[in-house]
Amino acid sequence: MSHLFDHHGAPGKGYAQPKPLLSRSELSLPENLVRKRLPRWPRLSEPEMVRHYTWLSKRNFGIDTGFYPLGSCTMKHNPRVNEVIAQLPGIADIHPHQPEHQIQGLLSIYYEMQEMLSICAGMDAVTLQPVAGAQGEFTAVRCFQEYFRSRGELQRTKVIVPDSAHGTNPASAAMAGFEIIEIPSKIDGRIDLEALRAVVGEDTAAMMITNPNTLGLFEHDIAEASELVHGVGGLMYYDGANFNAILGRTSPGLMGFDAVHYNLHKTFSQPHGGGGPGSGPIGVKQHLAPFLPTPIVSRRDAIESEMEQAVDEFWYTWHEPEHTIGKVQQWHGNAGAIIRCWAYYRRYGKELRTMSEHAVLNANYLRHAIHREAKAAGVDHMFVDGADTVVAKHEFTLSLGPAKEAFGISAMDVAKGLLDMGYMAPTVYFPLVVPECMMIEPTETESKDTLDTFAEDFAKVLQVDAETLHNAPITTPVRRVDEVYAARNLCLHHPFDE
Amino acid sequence: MSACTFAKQKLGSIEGLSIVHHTQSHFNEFAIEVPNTGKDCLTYLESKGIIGGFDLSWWYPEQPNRLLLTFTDQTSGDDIERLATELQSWVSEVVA
Repeated sequence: MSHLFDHHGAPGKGYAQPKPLLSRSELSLPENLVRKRLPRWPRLSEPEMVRHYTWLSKRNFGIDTGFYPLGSCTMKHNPRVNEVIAQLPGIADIHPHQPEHQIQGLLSIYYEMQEMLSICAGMDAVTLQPVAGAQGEFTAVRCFQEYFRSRGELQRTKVIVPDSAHGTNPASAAMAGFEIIEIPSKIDGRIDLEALRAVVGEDTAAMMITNPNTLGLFEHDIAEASELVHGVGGLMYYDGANFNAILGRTSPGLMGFDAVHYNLHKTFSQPHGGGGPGSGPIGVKQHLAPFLPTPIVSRRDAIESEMEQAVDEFWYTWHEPEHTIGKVQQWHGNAGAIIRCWAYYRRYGKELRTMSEHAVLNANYLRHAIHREAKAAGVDHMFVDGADTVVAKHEFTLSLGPAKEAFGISAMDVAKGLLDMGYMAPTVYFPLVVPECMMIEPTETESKDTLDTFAEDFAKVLQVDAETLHNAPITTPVRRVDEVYAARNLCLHHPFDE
Repeated sequence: MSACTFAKQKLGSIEGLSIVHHTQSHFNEFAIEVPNTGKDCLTYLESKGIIGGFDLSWWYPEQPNRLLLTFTDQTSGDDIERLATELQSWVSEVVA
Protein backbone atom coordinates (compact mmCIF):
# COMPACT_ATOMS: atom_id res chain seq x y z
CA MET A 1 0.00 0.00 0.00
CA SER A 2 1.70 3.23 -1.06
CA HIS A 3 -0.83 6.00 -0.55
CA LEU A 4 -4.19 6.93 0.84
CA PHE A 5 -6.03 6.39 -2.42
CA ASP A 6 -5.18 2.70 -2.47
CA HIS A 7 -7.49 2.12 0.50
CA HIS A 8 -11.09 1.19 -0.20
CA GLY A 9 -12.13 0.14 3.24
CA ALA A 10 -15.13 2.45 3.48
CA PRO A 11 -17.32 2.12 0.40
CA GLY A 12 -19.01 5.31 -0.69
CA LYS A 13 -17.21 7.56 1.71
CA GLY A 14 -14.95 7.22 4.69
CA TYR A 15 -14.74 10.82 5.67
CA ALA A 16 -17.00 12.84 7.93
CA GLN A 17 -17.60 16.55 7.93
CA PRO A 18 -19.23 18.71 10.58
CA LYS A 19 -22.93 19.26 10.11
CA PRO A 20 -23.28 22.57 8.28
CA LEU A 21 -25.27 25.41 9.84
CA LEU A 22 -27.20 25.84 6.59
CA SER A 23 -28.24 23.43 3.91
CA ARG A 24 -26.80 23.56 0.43
CA SER A 25 -29.95 25.19 -0.96
CA GLU A 26 -29.60 28.07 1.49
CA LEU A 27 -26.09 28.97 0.25
CA SER A 28 -25.80 31.39 -2.64
CA LEU A 29 -23.17 29.50 -4.57
CA PRO A 30 -22.44 30.77 -8.08
CA GLU A 31 -23.38 27.99 -10.46
CA ASN A 32 -19.99 27.93 -12.17
CA LEU A 33 -18.29 27.16 -8.86
CA VAL A 34 -20.47 24.19 -7.96
CA ARG A 35 -18.75 20.80 -8.24
CA LYS A 36 -19.97 18.52 -10.97
CA ARG A 37 -18.80 15.41 -9.08
CA LEU A 38 -17.70 14.51 -5.60
CA PRO A 39 -14.07 15.25 -4.73
CA ARG A 40 -11.66 12.30 -4.87
CA TRP A 41 -11.16 12.15 -1.17
CA PRO A 42 -9.57 8.98 0.20
CA ARG A 43 -12.04 6.41 1.51
CA LEU A 44 -10.57 5.44 4.83
CA SER A 45 -11.99 4.58 8.19
CA GLU A 46 -10.26 6.18 11.17
CA PRO A 47 -8.15 3.12 12.07
CA GLU A 48 -7.06 2.79 8.45
CA MET A 49 -6.06 6.43 8.44
CA VAL A 50 -4.07 6.01 11.66
CA ARG A 51 -2.35 2.91 10.27
CA HIS A 52 -1.49 4.71 7.06
CA TYR A 53 0.22 7.64 8.74
CA THR A 54 1.95 5.41 11.27
CA TRP A 55 3.25 3.32 8.34
CA LEU A 56 4.45 6.50 6.62
CA SER A 57 6.16 7.74 9.78
CA LYS A 58 8.09 4.48 9.99
CA ARG A 59 9.56 5.19 6.57
CA ASN A 60 11.12 8.40 7.88
CA PHE A 61 14.41 8.67 9.68
CA GLY A 62 14.51 11.38 12.30
CA ILE A 63 16.29 12.44 15.46
CA ASP A 64 13.61 10.55 17.39
CA THR A 65 14.43 7.28 15.62
CA GLY A 66 18.21 7.31 15.63
CA PHE A 67 21.55 9.10 15.91
CA TYR A 68 21.66 11.96 13.40
CA PRO A 69 25.25 13.31 13.13
CA LEU A 70 24.54 15.52 10.11
CA GLY A 71 27.39 18.02 10.10
CA SER A 72 26.46 21.71 10.01
CA CYS A 73 22.82 20.94 10.83
CA THR A 74 22.95 20.64 14.66
CA MET A 75 20.33 17.92 14.90
CA LYS A 76 19.96 17.97 18.66
CA HIS A 77 17.10 16.57 20.72
CA ASN A 78 14.05 18.82 20.79
CA PRO A 79 12.69 18.93 24.34
CA ARG A 80 8.97 18.17 24.37
CA VAL A 81 8.29 20.91 26.89
CA ASN A 82 8.91 23.38 24.06
CA GLU A 83 5.88 21.96 22.26
CA VAL A 84 3.69 22.20 25.34
CA ILE A 85 4.54 25.88 25.72
CA ALA A 86 4.17 26.69 22.01
CA GLN A 87 0.69 25.16 22.07
CA LEU A 88 -0.65 27.09 25.04
CA PRO A 89 -3.91 28.73 23.89
CA GLY A 90 -2.68 32.25 24.68
CA ILE A 91 0.20 31.68 22.28
CA ALA A 92 -1.12 29.28 19.65
CA ASP A 93 -4.54 30.88 19.21
CA ILE A 94 -3.65 34.50 18.65
CA HIS A 95 -3.59 36.33 15.34
CA PRO A 96 -0.87 38.64 14.07
CA HIS A 97 -3.42 41.36 13.44
CA GLN A 98 -4.57 41.55 17.03
CA PRO A 99 -3.88 44.93 18.64
CA GLU A 100 -0.90 45.27 20.95
CA HIS A 101 -2.91 45.38 24.16
CA GLN A 102 -4.21 41.85 23.46
CA ILE A 103 -0.80 40.29 22.82
CA GLN A 104 1.46 41.75 25.51
CA GLY A 105 2.56 38.24 26.49
CA LEU A 106 3.78 37.38 23.01
CA LEU A 107 5.43 40.77 22.59
CA SER A 108 7.27 40.33 25.88
CA ILE A 109 8.60 36.96 24.64
CA TYR A 110 9.79 38.58 21.41
CA TYR A 111 11.46 41.37 23.36
CA GLU A 112 13.17 38.92 25.69
CA MET A 113 14.45 36.92 22.73
CA GLN A 114 15.80 40.10 21.10
CA GLU A 115 17.60 41.02 24.31
CA MET A 116 18.94 37.52 24.98
CA LEU A 117 20.26 37.16 21.44
CA SER A 118 21.84 40.62 21.57
CA ILE A 119 23.69 39.68 24.75
CA CYS A 120 24.78 36.27 23.43
CA ALA A 121 26.25 37.78 20.28
CA GLY A 122 27.51 41.09 21.67
CA MET A 123 25.19 43.05 19.39
CA ASP A 124 22.98 46.10 20.02
CA ALA A 125 19.74 45.25 18.17
CA VAL A 126 18.02 42.13 16.85
CA THR A 127 15.23 41.37 14.41
CA LEU A 128 13.42 38.05 14.71
CA GLN A 129 11.86 38.31 11.26
CA PRO A 130 14.02 36.12 8.97
CA VAL A 131 12.86 32.50 8.91
CA ALA A 132 16.10 30.85 7.81
CA GLY A 133 19.82 31.39 8.22
CA ALA A 134 20.22 32.25 4.55
CA GLN A 135 17.39 34.77 4.79
CA GLY A 136 19.17 36.27 7.78
CA GLU A 137 22.31 36.62 5.67
CA PHE A 138 20.35 38.31 2.91
CA THR A 139 18.67 40.62 5.42
CA ALA A 140 22.03 41.62 6.88
CA VAL A 141 23.72 42.34 3.55
CA ARG A 142 20.68 44.39 2.53
CA CYS A 143 21.16 46.39 5.75
CA PHE A 144 24.85 46.81 4.79
CA GLN A 145 23.79 48.01 1.35
CA GLU A 146 21.42 50.64 2.73
CA TYR A 147 23.98 51.69 5.32
CA PHE A 148 26.56 52.39 2.60
CA ARG A 149 23.96 54.15 0.43
CA SER A 150 23.09 56.41 3.36
CA ARG A 151 26.78 57.35 3.58
CA GLY A 152 27.15 57.86 -0.16
CA GLU A 153 29.65 55.00 -0.40
CA LEU A 154 28.23 53.53 -3.57
CA GLN A 155 31.59 52.14 -4.69
CA ARG A 156 31.42 49.37 -2.11
CA THR A 157 30.25 46.58 -4.38
CA LYS A 158 32.34 43.60 -3.30
CA VAL A 159 31.82 40.98 -0.61
CA ILE A 160 34.75 38.75 0.40
CA VAL A 161 34.03 35.12 1.25
CA PRO A 162 36.58 32.41 2.20
CA ASP A 163 36.31 29.19 0.18
CA SER A 164 35.44 27.26 3.34
CA ALA A 165 32.30 29.36 3.96
CA HIS A 166 28.75 28.09 3.89
CA GLY A 167 27.55 28.19 0.29
CA THR A 168 24.66 30.41 1.29
CA ASN A 169 27.07 33.27 2.15
CA PRO A 170 28.09 34.10 -1.44
CA ALA A 171 24.59 33.25 -2.66
CA SER A 172 22.95 35.74 -0.27
CA ALA A 173 25.40 38.53 -1.12
CA ALA A 174 25.05 37.89 -4.86
CA MET A 175 21.27 37.96 -4.52
CA ALA A 176 21.55 41.43 -2.99
CA GLY A 177 23.63 42.52 -5.98
CA PHE A 178 27.16 42.31 -4.61
CA GLU A 179 30.15 40.93 -6.49
CA ILE A 180 31.69 37.94 -4.70
CA ILE A 181 35.43 37.76 -4.10
CA GLU A 182 36.45 34.28 -2.96
CA ILE A 183 39.72 33.89 -1.13
CA PRO A 184 41.51 30.57 -0.57
CA SER A 185 41.94 29.07 2.89
CA LYS A 186 45.30 28.22 4.39
CA ILE A 187 46.51 24.63 4.39
CA ASP A 188 44.91 24.14 7.83
CA GLY A 189 41.54 25.32 6.53
CA ARG A 190 41.58 28.69 8.29
CA ILE A 191 41.49 32.24 6.89
CA ASP A 192 44.55 33.28 4.93
CA LEU A 193 45.23 36.84 6.12
CA GLU A 194 47.64 37.48 3.26
CA ALA A 195 45.00 36.49 0.73
CA LEU A 196 42.55 38.78 2.52
CA ARG A 197 45.04 41.64 2.62
CA ALA A 198 45.48 41.32 -1.14
CA VAL A 199 41.80 41.87 -1.94
CA VAL A 200 40.52 44.44 0.60
CA GLY A 201 40.11 47.98 -0.63
CA GLU A 202 37.80 50.95 -1.05
CA ASP A 203 35.36 48.78 -2.99
CA THR A 204 35.03 46.28 -0.12
CA ALA A 205 31.53 46.26 1.30
CA ALA A 206 31.91 43.33 3.66
CA MET A 207 33.51 40.05 4.56
CA MET A 208 31.35 37.08 5.51
CA ILE A 209 32.86 34.48 7.81
CA THR A 210 31.50 31.21 9.17
CA ASN A 211 33.02 30.64 12.60
CA PRO A 212 33.78 27.99 13.69
CA ASN A 213 34.29 27.28 10.02
CA THR A 214 32.92 24.34 8.10
CA LEU A 215 35.93 22.26 9.07
CA GLY A 216 34.90 22.72 12.69
CA LEU A 217 37.86 25.01 13.37
CA PHE A 218 37.83 28.25 15.31
CA GLU A 219 39.35 31.03 13.23
CA HIS A 220 42.45 32.08 15.18
CA ASP A 221 42.96 35.22 13.12
CA ILE A 222 39.41 36.45 13.25
CA ALA A 223 40.18 39.66 15.16
CA GLU A 224 42.94 40.52 12.64
CA ALA A 225 40.56 39.84 9.76
CA SER A 226 38.05 42.24 11.35
CA GLU A 227 40.75 44.90 11.69
CA LEU A 228 41.79 44.51 8.05
CA VAL A 229 38.25 44.86 6.72
CA HIS A 230 37.31 47.68 9.09
CA GLY A 231 40.56 49.38 8.17
CA VAL A 232 39.29 49.96 4.63
CA GLY A 233 35.78 50.90 5.79
CA GLY A 234 34.13 47.52 5.19
CA LEU A 235 31.77 45.61 7.48
CA MET A 236 32.10 42.15 9.03
CA TYR A 237 29.37 39.52 8.86
CA TYR A 238 29.33 36.49 11.15
CA ASP A 239 27.52 33.36 9.97
CA GLY A 240 26.21 32.05 13.27
CA ALA A 241 25.06 28.66 12.00
CA ASN A 242 27.73 27.13 14.20
CA PHE A 243 26.78 29.10 17.30
CA ASN A 244 26.33 25.83 19.15
CA ALA A 245 30.12 25.80 19.55
CA ILE A 246 30.60 29.19 21.18
CA LEU A 247 27.43 30.17 23.06
CA GLY A 248 28.35 31.75 26.37
CA ARG A 249 32.09 31.39 25.72
CA THR A 250 32.71 34.29 23.36
CA SER A 251 30.71 36.46 20.96
CA PRO A 252 30.89 37.90 17.45
CA GLY A 253 30.73 41.36 19.04
CA LEU A 254 33.97 40.68 20.89
CA MET A 255 35.53 39.57 17.62
CA GLY A 256 34.68 42.88 15.97
CA PHE A 257 31.69 41.86 13.88
CA ASP A 258 28.97 44.25 12.77
CA ALA A 259 26.23 41.69 12.13
CA VAL A 260 25.45 38.06 12.82
CA HIS A 261 22.68 35.62 12.11
CA TYR A 262 21.48 32.93 14.48
CA ASN A 263 19.97 29.65 13.36
CA LEU A 264 17.53 29.35 16.24
CA HIS A 265 16.30 26.01 14.89
CA LYS A 266 19.81 24.60 15.31
CA THR A 267 21.25 26.18 18.43
CA PHE A 268 18.06 26.60 20.42
CA SER A 269 16.29 23.39 19.39
CA GLN A 270 13.37 23.34 17.00
CA PRO A 271 12.45 20.38 14.83
CA HIS A 272 13.88 21.08 11.38
CA GLY A 273 14.90 19.35 8.20
CA GLY A 274 13.79 19.07 4.62
CA GLY A 275 13.82 22.83 4.22
CA GLY A 276 12.23 24.07 7.41
CA PRO A 277 10.67 25.27 9.57
CA GLY A 278 13.40 27.59 10.70
CA SER A 279 14.16 30.91 12.29
CA GLY A 280 17.18 33.00 11.34
CA PRO A 281 17.17 36.27 13.34
CA ILE A 282 20.03 38.70 12.89
CA GLY A 283 21.78 40.92 15.37
CA VAL A 284 23.57 44.12 14.43
CA LYS A 285 25.69 46.82 16.00
CA GLN A 286 24.12 50.22 16.66
CA HIS A 287 25.18 51.81 13.36
CA LEU A 288 23.11 49.22 11.45
CA ALA A 289 20.09 49.15 13.77
CA PRO A 290 18.12 51.86 11.89
CA PHE A 291 18.08 49.64 8.79
CA LEU A 292 16.62 46.47 10.33
CA PRO A 293 13.39 45.05 8.90
CA THR A 294 10.17 46.23 10.45
CA PRO A 295 8.71 45.64 12.96
CA ILE A 296 10.81 44.90 16.02
CA VAL A 297 9.56 45.03 19.60
CA SER A 298 10.40 47.85 21.98
CA ARG A 299 9.55 48.31 25.65
CA ARG A 300 8.65 51.13 28.02
CA ASP A 301 7.21 51.44 31.51
CA ALA A 302 3.47 50.82 31.54
CA ILE A 303 1.16 53.65 32.57
CA GLU A 304 -1.65 53.25 35.09
CA SER A 305 -4.37 52.42 32.56
CA GLU A 306 -2.22 49.68 31.00
CA MET A 307 -1.40 47.78 34.17
CA GLU A 308 -4.09 45.13 33.68
CA GLN A 309 -2.51 43.82 30.49
CA ALA A 310 1.09 44.85 31.16
CA VAL A 311 3.76 42.22 31.78
CA ASP A 312 5.83 42.95 34.92
CA GLU A 313 4.72 46.60 34.65
CA PHE A 314 6.24 46.93 31.18
CA TRP A 315 4.38 47.81 27.98
CA TYR A 316 5.53 46.34 24.69
CA THR A 317 4.94 47.81 21.24
CA TRP A 318 5.82 47.10 17.64
CA HIS A 319 8.45 49.52 16.42
CA GLU A 320 9.58 50.51 12.93
CA PRO A 321 13.32 51.31 12.62
CA GLU A 322 13.97 54.76 11.17
CA HIS A 323 15.52 53.69 7.84
CA THR A 324 14.12 50.17 7.68
CA ILE A 325 14.78 48.04 4.60
CA GLY A 326 11.11 47.00 4.91
CA LYS A 327 9.74 43.52 5.34
CA VAL A 328 11.65 40.33 4.60
CA GLN A 329 8.91 38.02 5.81
CA GLN A 330 5.17 38.12 6.27
CA TRP A 331 3.80 38.83 9.73
CA HIS A 332 6.40 38.62 12.48
CA GLY A 333 8.70 35.79 11.45
CA ASN A 334 8.19 32.17 12.36
CA ALA A 335 6.47 32.76 15.68
CA GLY A 336 6.15 29.05 16.52
CA ALA A 337 9.88 28.51 16.16
CA ILE A 338 10.67 31.63 18.17
CA ILE A 339 8.43 30.46 21.02
CA ARG A 340 9.99 26.99 21.13
CA CYS A 341 13.47 28.49 21.16
CA TRP A 342 12.45 30.94 23.88
CA ALA A 343 11.18 27.99 25.95
CA TYR A 344 14.52 26.25 25.43
CA TYR A 345 16.48 29.32 26.44
CA ARG A 346 14.31 29.89 29.54
CA ARG A 347 14.82 26.27 30.56
CA TYR A 348 18.62 26.52 30.48
CA GLY A 349 19.51 30.19 31.01
CA LYS A 350 23.20 30.60 31.74
CA GLU A 351 23.60 26.82 31.50
CA LEU A 352 23.59 27.30 27.73
CA ARG A 353 27.31 27.82 28.16
CA THR A 354 27.55 24.26 29.46
CA MET A 355 25.52 23.14 26.46
CA SER A 356 28.18 24.53 24.12
CA GLU A 357 30.97 22.98 26.15
CA HIS A 358 29.31 19.57 25.92
CA ALA A 359 28.73 19.96 22.19
CA VAL A 360 32.44 20.58 21.67
CA LEU A 361 33.39 17.79 24.09
CA ASN A 362 31.12 15.30 22.32
CA ALA A 363 32.53 16.19 18.91
CA ASN A 364 36.11 15.81 20.03
CA TYR A 365 35.35 12.59 21.92
CA LEU A 366 33.66 11.09 18.87
CA ARG A 367 36.52 12.06 16.62
CA HIS A 368 38.99 10.26 18.86
CA ALA A 369 36.63 7.31 19.35
CA ILE A 370 36.36 6.81 15.59
CA HIS A 371 40.15 6.81 15.27
CA ARG A 372 40.39 4.42 18.24
CA GLU A 373 37.88 1.92 16.88
CA ALA A 374 39.25 2.12 13.34
CA LYS A 375 42.73 1.40 14.62
CA ALA A 376 41.49 -1.56 16.67
CA ALA A 377 39.75 -2.94 13.58
CA GLY A 378 42.76 -2.32 11.33
CA VAL A 379 40.97 0.15 9.03
CA ASP A 380 42.54 3.39 10.25
CA HIS A 381 44.45 3.69 6.95
CA MET A 382 41.20 4.33 5.07
CA PHE A 383 40.66 7.90 6.23
CA VAL A 384 42.43 10.92 7.65
CA ASP A 385 41.31 14.02 9.51
CA GLY A 386 39.89 16.65 7.18
CA ALA A 387 41.83 19.30 9.06
CA ASP A 388 45.10 19.12 10.91
CA THR A 389 44.12 20.24 14.38
CA VAL A 390 44.44 19.09 17.96
CA VAL A 391 40.97 20.27 18.96
CA ALA A 392 37.92 20.74 16.78
CA LYS A 393 34.83 22.63 17.86
CA HIS A 394 31.27 21.26 17.67
CA GLU A 395 31.91 19.27 14.48
CA PHE A 396 34.81 17.74 12.60
CA THR A 397 35.63 16.43 9.15
CA LEU A 398 37.16 13.21 7.92
CA SER A 399 38.54 12.58 4.44
CA LEU A 400 37.80 9.20 2.89
CA GLY A 401 40.32 10.07 0.18
CA PRO A 402 42.62 7.12 1.10
CA ALA A 403 39.71 4.63 0.89
CA LYS A 404 38.69 6.02 -2.47
CA GLU A 405 42.20 5.82 -3.84
CA ALA A 406 43.05 2.36 -2.53
CA PHE A 407 39.73 0.54 -2.69
CA GLY A 408 37.35 2.71 -4.73
CA ILE A 409 35.23 3.30 -1.61
CA SER A 410 33.89 6.84 -1.62
CA ALA A 411 32.54 9.01 1.19
CA MET A 412 29.10 8.42 -0.33
CA ASP A 413 29.59 4.64 -0.10
CA VAL A 414 30.46 4.90 3.59
CA ALA A 415 27.52 7.23 4.16
CA LYS A 416 25.16 4.72 2.55
CA GLY A 417 26.73 1.92 4.58
CA LEU A 418 25.97 3.86 7.75
CA LEU A 419 22.31 4.02 6.71
CA ASP A 420 22.27 0.23 6.78
CA MET A 421 23.62 0.37 10.31
CA GLY A 422 20.63 2.47 11.38
CA TYR A 423 22.21 5.92 11.36
CA MET A 424 21.54 9.12 9.52
CA ALA A 425 24.62 9.62 7.37
CA PRO A 426 26.92 12.54 8.17
CA THR A 427 27.10 15.40 5.69
CA VAL A 428 29.22 14.38 2.69
CA TYR A 429 31.21 16.31 0.10
CA PHE A 430 31.10 19.49 2.15
CA PRO A 431 33.15 21.53 2.68
CA LEU A 432 34.55 21.24 -0.81
CA VAL A 433 38.12 21.90 0.35
CA VAL A 434 38.33 18.37 1.87
CA PRO A 435 38.48 15.49 -0.65
CA GLU A 436 35.84 12.78 -0.10
CA CYS A 437 34.69 14.78 2.88
CA MET A 438 32.49 13.55 5.70
CA MET A 439 31.38 16.17 8.21
CA ILE A 440 30.23 14.86 11.58
CA GLU A 441 28.34 16.81 14.28
CA PRO A 442 27.06 14.71 17.17
CA THR A 443 25.62 17.59 19.29
CA GLU A 444 25.57 17.73 23.08
CA THR A 445 22.42 15.66 23.51
CA GLU A 446 23.97 12.29 22.65
CA SER A 447 25.31 9.99 25.34
CA LYS A 448 28.81 8.50 25.53
CA ASP A 449 27.27 5.10 24.85
CA THR A 450 25.71 6.34 21.60
CA LEU A 451 28.99 7.90 20.50
CA ASP A 452 30.98 4.74 21.33
CA THR A 453 28.52 2.54 19.46
CA PHE A 454 28.58 4.82 16.43
CA ALA A 455 32.39 4.78 16.40
CA GLU A 456 32.36 0.95 16.50
CA ASP A 457 29.81 0.79 13.70
CA PHE A 458 31.74 3.32 11.63
CA ALA A 459 34.76 1.00 11.82
CA LYS A 460 32.54 -1.95 10.87
CA VAL A 461 31.35 -0.15 7.74
CA LEU A 462 34.96 0.43 6.72
CA GLN A 463 35.50 -3.34 6.89
CA VAL A 464 32.75 -4.00 4.34
CA ASP A 465 33.96 -4.81 0.81
CA ALA A 466 33.66 -2.17 -1.89
CA GLU A 467 31.11 -4.07 -3.99
CA THR A 468 28.70 -4.37 -1.09
CA LEU A 469 29.11 -0.71 -0.16
CA HIS A 470 28.50 0.37 -3.75
CA ASN A 471 25.06 -1.25 -3.45
CA ALA A 472 24.25 0.10 0.00
CA PRO A 473 21.80 0.81 1.46
CA ILE A 474 19.81 -2.40 1.26
CA THR A 475 17.74 -2.12 4.45
CA THR A 476 16.10 1.27 3.93
CA PRO A 477 12.64 1.85 2.40
CA VAL A 478 14.33 3.53 -0.57
CA ARG A 479 17.65 2.18 -1.79
CA ARG A 480 20.38 4.19 -3.49
CA VAL A 481 18.71 6.66 -5.80
CA ASP A 482 19.94 8.62 -8.78
CA GLU A 483 19.86 11.97 -7.00
CA VAL A 484 20.67 14.05 -10.07
CA TYR A 485 17.87 12.39 -12.05
CA ALA A 486 15.47 12.81 -9.12
CA ALA A 487 16.29 16.50 -8.76
CA ARG A 488 15.85 17.17 -12.47
CA ASN A 489 12.78 15.05 -13.08
CA LEU A 490 10.34 15.84 -10.31
CA CYS A 491 7.20 13.75 -10.46
CA LEU A 492 4.75 14.69 -7.74
CA HIS A 493 1.64 13.69 -9.65
CA HIS A 494 -0.56 10.81 -8.62
CA PRO A 495 -1.90 8.92 -11.64
CA PHE A 496 -5.57 8.63 -10.74
CA ASP A 497 -7.68 6.26 -12.79
CA GLU A 498 -9.63 8.82 -14.73
CA MET B 1 -19.11 29.04 3.76
CA SER B 2 -22.11 27.72 5.60
CA ALA B 3 -21.06 29.51 8.81
CA CYS B 4 -20.30 32.65 6.85
CA THR B 5 -23.68 32.67 5.16
CA PHE B 6 -25.39 31.95 8.48
CA ALA B 7 -23.54 34.92 10.01
CA LYS B 8 -24.51 37.11 7.08
CA GLN B 9 -28.16 36.31 7.70
CA LYS B 10 -27.91 36.96 11.44
CA LEU B 11 -25.88 40.16 11.25
CA GLY B 12 -27.74 41.42 8.19
CA SER B 13 -30.95 41.40 10.17
CA ILE B 14 -29.60 43.92 12.71
CA GLU B 15 -31.09 47.30 12.01
CA GLY B 16 -28.43 50.02 11.76
CA LEU B 17 -25.72 47.62 10.63
CA SER B 18 -25.17 46.65 7.00
CA ILE B 19 -23.29 43.96 5.09
CA VAL B 20 -20.91 45.47 2.52
CA HIS B 21 -21.64 44.01 -0.93
CA HIS B 22 -24.50 42.07 0.62
CA THR B 23 -25.81 40.81 -2.72
CA GLN B 24 -22.52 39.13 -3.58
CA SER B 25 -21.44 35.60 -2.67
CA HIS B 26 -19.03 35.40 0.21
CA PHE B 27 -16.82 32.44 0.89
CA ASN B 28 -15.51 32.72 4.43
CA GLU B 29 -15.52 36.42 5.25
CA PHE B 30 -17.38 39.65 4.65
CA ALA B 31 -17.25 43.28 5.77
CA ILE B 32 -19.85 45.06 7.84
CA GLU B 33 -20.52 48.78 8.18
CA VAL B 34 -21.33 49.90 11.71
CA PRO B 35 -22.97 53.10 12.94
CA ASN B 36 -19.88 54.35 14.77
CA THR B 37 -16.17 53.67 14.43
CA GLY B 38 -15.07 50.08 14.00
CA LYS B 39 -12.62 50.67 16.82
CA ASP B 40 -15.43 51.59 19.23
CA CYS B 41 -17.39 48.53 18.17
CA LEU B 42 -14.38 46.24 18.74
CA THR B 43 -13.75 47.78 22.16
CA TYR B 44 -17.33 47.01 23.17
CA LEU B 45 -17.15 43.45 21.87
CA GLU B 46 -13.83 42.87 23.64
CA SER B 47 -15.47 43.93 26.90
CA LYS B 48 -17.91 41.09 26.25
CA GLY B 49 -15.12 38.58 25.58
CA ILE B 50 -15.34 38.66 21.80
CA ILE B 51 -12.52 39.52 19.37
CA GLY B 52 -14.92 40.93 16.86
CA GLY B 53 -13.00 41.23 13.63
CA PHE B 54 -10.41 43.26 11.81
CA ASP B 55 -10.69 47.05 11.84
CA LEU B 56 -10.36 47.93 8.16
CA SER B 57 -9.27 51.47 9.02
CA TRP B 58 -5.82 49.97 9.73
CA TRP B 59 -5.42 49.49 6.01
CA TYR B 60 -8.00 51.98 4.72
CA PRO B 61 -8.14 55.09 6.93
CA GLU B 62 -10.98 56.40 4.79
CA GLN B 63 -13.15 53.52 6.03
CA PRO B 64 -13.27 54.09 9.80
CA ASN B 65 -16.57 52.28 10.32
CA ARG B 66 -15.96 48.98 8.57
CA LEU B 67 -14.95 45.66 10.09
CA LEU B 68 -13.89 42.46 8.34
CA LEU B 69 -15.26 39.29 9.92
CA THR B 70 -14.11 35.77 9.11
CA PHE B 71 -15.84 32.48 9.86
CA THR B 72 -14.52 28.95 9.64
CA ASP B 73 -15.74 25.41 10.14
CA GLN B 74 -14.65 25.89 13.76
CA THR B 75 -17.13 28.75 14.30
CA SER B 76 -20.24 27.43 16.01
CA GLY B 77 -23.80 28.58 15.56
CA ASP B 78 -23.81 29.59 19.23
CA ASP B 79 -20.75 31.81 18.68
CA ILE B 80 -22.47 33.56 15.80
CA GLU B 81 -25.71 33.97 17.77
CA ARG B 82 -23.78 35.55 20.66
CA LEU B 83 -21.91 37.87 18.29
CA ALA B 84 -25.19 38.96 16.76
CA THR B 85 -26.73 39.55 20.19
CA GLU B 86 -23.82 41.70 21.37
CA LEU B 87 -23.67 43.64 18.12
CA GLN B 88 -27.42 44.29 18.43
CA SER B 89 -26.88 45.64 21.96
CA TRP B 90 -24.03 47.90 20.86
CA VAL B 91 -25.92 49.23 17.82
CA SER B 92 -28.93 49.96 20.03
CA GLU B 93 -26.74 51.94 22.44
CA VAL B 94 -25.00 53.85 19.66
CA VAL B 95 -28.10 54.67 17.66
CA ALA B 96 -29.99 55.74 20.76
